[in-house]
Amino acid sequence: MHITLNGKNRQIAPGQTLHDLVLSMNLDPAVVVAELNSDIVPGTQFAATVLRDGDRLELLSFVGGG
Amino acid sequence: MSFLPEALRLHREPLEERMAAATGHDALRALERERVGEDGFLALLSPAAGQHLEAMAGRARDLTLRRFGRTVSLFTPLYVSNHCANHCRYCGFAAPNSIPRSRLTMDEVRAEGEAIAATGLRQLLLLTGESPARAGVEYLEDCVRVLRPLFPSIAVEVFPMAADDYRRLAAAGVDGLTVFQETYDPDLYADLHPAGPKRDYAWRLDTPMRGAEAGLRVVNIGVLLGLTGWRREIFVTGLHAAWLMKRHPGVDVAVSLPRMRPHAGAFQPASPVSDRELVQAMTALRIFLPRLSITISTRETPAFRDNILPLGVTRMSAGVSTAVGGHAKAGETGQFEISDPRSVAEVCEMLKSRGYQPVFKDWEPLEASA
Amino acid sequence: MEHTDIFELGGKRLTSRLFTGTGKYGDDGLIPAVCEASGSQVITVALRRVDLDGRGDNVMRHIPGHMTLLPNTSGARTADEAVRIARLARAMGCGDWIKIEVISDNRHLLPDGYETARATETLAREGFVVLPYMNPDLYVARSLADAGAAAIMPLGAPIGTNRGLRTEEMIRILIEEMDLPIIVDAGIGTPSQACQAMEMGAAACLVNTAIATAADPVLMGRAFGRAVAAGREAFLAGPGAVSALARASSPLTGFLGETGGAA
Repeated sequence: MHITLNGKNRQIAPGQTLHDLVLSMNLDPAVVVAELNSDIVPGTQFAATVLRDGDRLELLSFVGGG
Repeated sequence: MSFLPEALRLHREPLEERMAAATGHDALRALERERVGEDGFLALLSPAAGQHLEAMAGRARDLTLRRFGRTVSLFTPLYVSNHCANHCRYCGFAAPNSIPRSRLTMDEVRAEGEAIAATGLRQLLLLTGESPARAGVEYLEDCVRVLRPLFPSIAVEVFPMAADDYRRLAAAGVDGLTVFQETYDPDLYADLHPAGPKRDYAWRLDTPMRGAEAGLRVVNIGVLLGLTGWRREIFVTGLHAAWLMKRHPGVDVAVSLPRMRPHAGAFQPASPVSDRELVQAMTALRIFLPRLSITISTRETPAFRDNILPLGVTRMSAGVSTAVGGHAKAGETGQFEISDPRSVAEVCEMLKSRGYQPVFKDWEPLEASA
Repeated sequence: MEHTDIFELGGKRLTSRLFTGTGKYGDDGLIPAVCEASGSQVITVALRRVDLDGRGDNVMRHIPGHMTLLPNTSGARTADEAVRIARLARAMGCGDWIKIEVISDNRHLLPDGYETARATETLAREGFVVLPYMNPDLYVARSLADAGAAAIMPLGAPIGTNRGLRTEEMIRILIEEMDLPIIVDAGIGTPSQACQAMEMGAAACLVNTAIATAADPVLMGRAFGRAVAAGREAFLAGPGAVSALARASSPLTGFLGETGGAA
C-alpha cells in the first residue's frame, strides 16, 4: 500500500503502525512528532496507530534554529 | 478602570519623607536621564532639587522647544452660568455666597461669543457652576450649537458627567474637558467641599477618564495650588496625567497650575506657593512628561507669565473675564481675581516680541458624520 | 556574583537574560558548552520534516536538560501555518513556549505584524506562552499585548544581519510604553550591542547568529552572557556620572530674584 510521507509517495507493508514506520527509518520516536491526515498524533499513540492506504503523514523533529 | 486605587495608595505613601531624603544629586541624576521615571520625578520635586532650579529650567526649556516649538496656544474662558449647588470654601461662586446669579440666554451667548471672536481667539473654554437643573447637558448643547460656527475648538469646564453625556457634548462639537481635582488629598477634599454634588471625590477623580473614553481630544487636569503641600499634589497630578496618557494615547493630556494668592477677606490658602516653587513644579512636570500640555492662567501677573513662558508653558488664557457675560459688558462679579488683565492683542504682541507664535487654532474637528 | 535579579516569564524564574539559539552552528556539538559558558537558560529550536533517509543528527541530543525550550514557527508564512507549527511543537512534549515568527518576504525576512497578531491570539487562548517576533512598531506591539503575548520580541535589525540596534529609537518607545517584557531578537552582532539593549531597559536579548558563527562560539557565548548581565546591572543601577549641569549665571530663572544656579 501507499502513503504520502512528508510530501513523497512511499510504499509500506499493510498493517504497519506509525511506531513501526518510525523505527524502520532509524528515527527515535521520542524526538519525532507526527501529523496524520492533518491531525496531530502524540508519541504515546504511535504504537496504536495503524497506517492505511492513502494516508498523508508528516513526520517532524526539532532542528537548529534561531 | 479607575485612578482611585492609585490615588488612595499614594495618599498613604510617605511622599514627603521620600522627598526630604532626596538629594540634589538625585535631582541632577534625573536631569541626566533621557526619560525620567517616577523616582526621578519625585527627586525633581524635592526641596533639595530647588538648588538646581536653573538646570531644571534649562532642561524644561529644551524639552518644550523640541516638542512644541516656539508656539503658545491661546484660549479664553466664557462663563455662561454661575448657578452652583456646591459649597467649595475657596470659590467665589459657591452656593452660600449671595451674589447675583444668572444664566446667559442664547442671544447673550451669541453676543459673548462674537465679542470674543472679534479678538481673534478661536479656542473657547465654556464654564458653568454645578447646577445641572439650571445649566445642564441640554443647555450646554444649545450653547455649543450657537458658538460652534465662531469657534473651531470648544472645551468645557462645567461639572463631572457620565461618559454618555460627554458623548452628547462631543457630538455637538465639544472637543475638550477641563476638570480640576482641586486636591488629591481625600480628607482635605471632604473638608473643602462640605456640601453639594462635588463632595464625591471618586466620581470627580475619574471624570477626565470618562471624557477621554467619550472621545474628547483634550483633557485638562489640575490642583488648586495653595490648598496644601504642593510637592505631593504635583507628584500625584503628574502620575494621574501619566496614567491617563498611558490608557488614552490618542488624548492630549494637559495640566493647569492655578495658584491661589493670599488676599484680603476671602479664603486664605493654607500653603501659599512661591514663584520659585511654581517654577519648580512646572519644570518637574515638563521633564517627567515631555509631551504634556501645560496651561497658565491669568491668575498670574504679566511679568511672571512672560518669564515662565519658555519653561514649559504651551497654553495660555488671554483677554479673560471670569464673570458671567463679562466679555460683552464690564463690571460683573467674577469667580476669582485675575492678575493679567491684558487684551488678546497685547498678549499676542508680547509673545511675538519674545519669538513665540500665538496659535489661535490647533485643529478643527471634522463634523461628525450623520 | 550572586544573582538577585530574576526574570519571570511564562511561569519560569530565569537568572540569565540571554536567550540563545541552535541555528547556524558549524558543529552542534558546541551547543552544550555554549549554554554553560553563556549561562543562558532559554534556547530556540525550529521544527522541520525529518530526513527520510534517517541520517540527520538530532539537535535535541545537544541541548542540556535544564534549558527551557523555545520552539519557533520559522517557515510559517501565515498565521494558520504558525498555529499549526506551534501545536506540533507542543505535541513534542517539551513545554508550551512558542516564538511566533511569520515571514512571507524571504528577501528581507521581516515579520508580518498582522499575521503574527492573529497567530498570537489563537495560541495564547490555547495556553501557549507566546513570544512574538516583530518589527518594533508601537501599534503592532499593542495588538500583540491585547492578543495575549507573554513578551514582545522586536528586531534590532533584520535577521542574521548582525547590524546591531538599528531600530534603537523604536525599541526605546516599546520599552517605555509597553507593560510586557521587551526581548530584543535579531540583529545583535556584538556583546556591546546586547549590553546597550539591556542598559536601555530591555528585559532580555536573544542572540543566535553572532554566537554560532563566531570563530570561537563558546568564548563568544560567554562574552554575550557577561554583556547582557552587565547591561542589566547598569540599567538597575541607574545612570552614572553626573555632568556639570549647574551654571553660575541664571539666564532662565534670574527673574525669580534669587540665585538660581548651584550653591
